[in-house]
This record gives sequence, structure tokens and C-alpha cells, in this order.
Amino acid sequence: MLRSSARMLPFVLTLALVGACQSGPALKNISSVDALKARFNADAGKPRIVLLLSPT
Amino acid sequence: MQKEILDAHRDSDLRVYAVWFNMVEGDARDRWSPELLTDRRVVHFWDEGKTVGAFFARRTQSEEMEQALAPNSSGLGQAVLWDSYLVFGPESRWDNGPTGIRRWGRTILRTRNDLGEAVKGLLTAPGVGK
Repeated sequence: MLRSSARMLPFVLTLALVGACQSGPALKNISSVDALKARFNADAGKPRIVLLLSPT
Repeated sequence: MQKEILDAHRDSDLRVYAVWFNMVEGDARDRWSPELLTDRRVVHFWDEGKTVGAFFARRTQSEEMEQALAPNSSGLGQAVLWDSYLVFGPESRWDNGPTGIRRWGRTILRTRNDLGEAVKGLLTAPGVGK
């Protein structure tokens, strides 16, 4: 039983890694413009687009 | 947006900030779909208080914003700007507010051609976009 589990370990780890890599984008909560401002300025030197959207 | 802008300029260093908030009945944070914009250059924010939309709505009367408005825009003058895009060049810097707006429009669908042209012009300018 223990040997069988050990043999499965690389397979399980691979699945976990693939799952982590394939996870979708995150949705970060903000309560003011400051977080957007910080990100905007951190990306200075690049063209930038702000989208204002509702989810439906 | 995903296909016409991001996929069309796959190798550019364009950055997109998608700010989501409730505006119409049925909107909710859990109605947000992560499949709509999956490009790694997009950062998604949930703004429950509509602070970003209100912030940009207050700025729409500025001369800089008026000059950058897409001609076919509609539904302006609301307390919260939404269903809208704002395009900024690499020189833009945000102190009291972001400077150097190149183009903005509302609604996104109605003015999508202006958005595409603005991004294309920006990314094909010498020394920009890579």
C-alpha cells in the first residue's frame, strides 16, 4: 500500500503543478483608486488601458 | 477586447487594468467571469464602492479628457463612468490623476473601432510597445 502511494506521488505532484499553472486570473478587491494608481505607476513606460466594466 | 486588442498585439507590453463593479440589476462579484479576459497582461480589480468609476466620471469635463473622447461616445454625464475604456501612453504618470490620455470612449462596443485605432497607433509608434 505504502509502495503504491509512493509510486503515485510524482503523478499527484504533476497534477497539482498543472492545476496551479492553469488557474484563472485573480480578482483583487479595492476600496479606493490607490491600488489602481500604484499599479498604473509601476507599469510606467508601457502603454496602458483602464477598463471600467460591470459583470453582466 | 481579448481578441481584437490583446490577441492582435500578442507580443506587446500593453497592460490592461479591468476594474469591475456593480452597475445594473443582477450585477454581483460572484457573477464575474474569469474566462472573459484571460490574458496575463490583464489585472482584474473588484471595486465594490465604484470609486474608480466615480473618479473618472469627475474628470470627464477636463479639457484633456474632452479632446481624447471618441466621437461616437454616448451615455456620458453620469456620476459613475462605466462600460468605458481609457487608453494611456507609456509616458503617462498618475499623481493627482493619470496624465497623457490618448483616447477614451463609451460604450466599449459602440466605440470599439476608436479603441482599436488608438491602441494600434500607440503600439506602432517608434520605440513603443515592446
